[in-house]
Amino acid sequence: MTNLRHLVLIAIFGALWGALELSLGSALHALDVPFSGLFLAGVGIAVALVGYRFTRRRGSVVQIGLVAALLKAASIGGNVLMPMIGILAEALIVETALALTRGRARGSYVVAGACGTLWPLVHPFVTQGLVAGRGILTVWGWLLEDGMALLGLPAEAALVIVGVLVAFHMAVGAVAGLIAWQTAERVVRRGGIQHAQP
Amino acid sequence: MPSPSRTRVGTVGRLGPLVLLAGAVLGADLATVWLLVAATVVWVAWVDRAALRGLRSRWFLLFAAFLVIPLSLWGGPRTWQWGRLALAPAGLELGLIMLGRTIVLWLGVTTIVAGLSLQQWSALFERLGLQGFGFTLGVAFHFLPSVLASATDAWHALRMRGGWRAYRWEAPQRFLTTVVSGALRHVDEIAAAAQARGYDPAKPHRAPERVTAADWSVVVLWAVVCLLLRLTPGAASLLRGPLGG
Repeated sequence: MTNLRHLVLIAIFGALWGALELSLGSALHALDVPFSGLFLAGVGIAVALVGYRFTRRRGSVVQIGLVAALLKAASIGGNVLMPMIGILAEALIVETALALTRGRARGSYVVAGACGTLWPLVHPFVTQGLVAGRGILTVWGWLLEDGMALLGLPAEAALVIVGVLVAFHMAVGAVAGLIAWQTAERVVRRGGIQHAQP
Repeated sequence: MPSPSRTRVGTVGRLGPLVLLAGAVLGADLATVWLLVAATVVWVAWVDRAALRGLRSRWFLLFAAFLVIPLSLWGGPRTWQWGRLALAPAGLELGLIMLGRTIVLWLGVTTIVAGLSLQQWSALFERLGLQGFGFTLGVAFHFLPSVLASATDAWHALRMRGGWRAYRWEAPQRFLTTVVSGALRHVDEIAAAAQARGYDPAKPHRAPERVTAADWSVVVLWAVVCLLLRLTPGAASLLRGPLGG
């Protein structure tokens, strides 16, 4: 039985993620800040994970992501398709990770966050490589070039570069998951208890 | 004023072909991409002529120039000499393919987003099994300005108390806690207000979107057109010039 409170919680956390994408996301992309996609993914996933703490139902994170993606779709501006794909993919990954790890402990949040923030690394392969048609190999070349410039390593160390980038993305996601868990627990302790699911 | 033929076709018939066109453009070669662009422009002109205005916007023209010009100059060996200008045919082809795909995808997405009201989006998701999603979306849209204002207030309050320097790793937690606590205060009020108005997620008030035979006919027709454009080598050869070969 769908209850109203659950629907309102989904709406509120979806609006929070959407608000972050609309305000912070637009600003970061306009300023072309490095790793802005990763930072946005981390913050968005943290919001969705806090929302999950108060709903604890299968599909909640996907619904929160869907609301955020549709809010992004309705925003004024140029390209909304690629961010929408990103938000939905991140929500889907986090939902899967929560389902696999039961989603009831700190470790589960950390794993879900770490998996979700891997998407910004994969995102250009899908959006630029497949959708825009630049080709997977071209995007792979960009990834290596960026990695080489960042880490000061030669092209021969491709595996090390990718490994470091994956580890960095996962670490940011793990921190986001941890912050989400601690925030949710803090809110529950300080009066949000009536909204929390056992 | 919509024409009589237009009123017979519903949302699925008007917007469904754009999904097919967007799918068909992925992985297509240059000539096929531009045939699909032509088909999309024709269909969007029929469905929502106003959506075509975006193609003439300064933003889009700048985007197209930044996409095609650098690729045609530096996107490969410059084997084409045109007076004093040397062009890279491989780069130009890639730029034109990307521009064509962007036009189809962008026109498709903007027309679909603008062509569906919030209620139709809700009906669509509810039909897909997300009970009460229309209500959720409505609340989220109305709640957005309040969330933005609350997050901005929380951010300024945290910044004035020393922000990152004062709280270090606790700063994001404090910020999120304030915003989430503020938002959660409204949950019961909104749920009670909806209940007082007799809203039941299990029984939405809206009539389901009607899909007629005309809708399905249009969708099938466009599916055949897209398949023909993608699978028939002769169709693309109509446009095949020195670049398309």
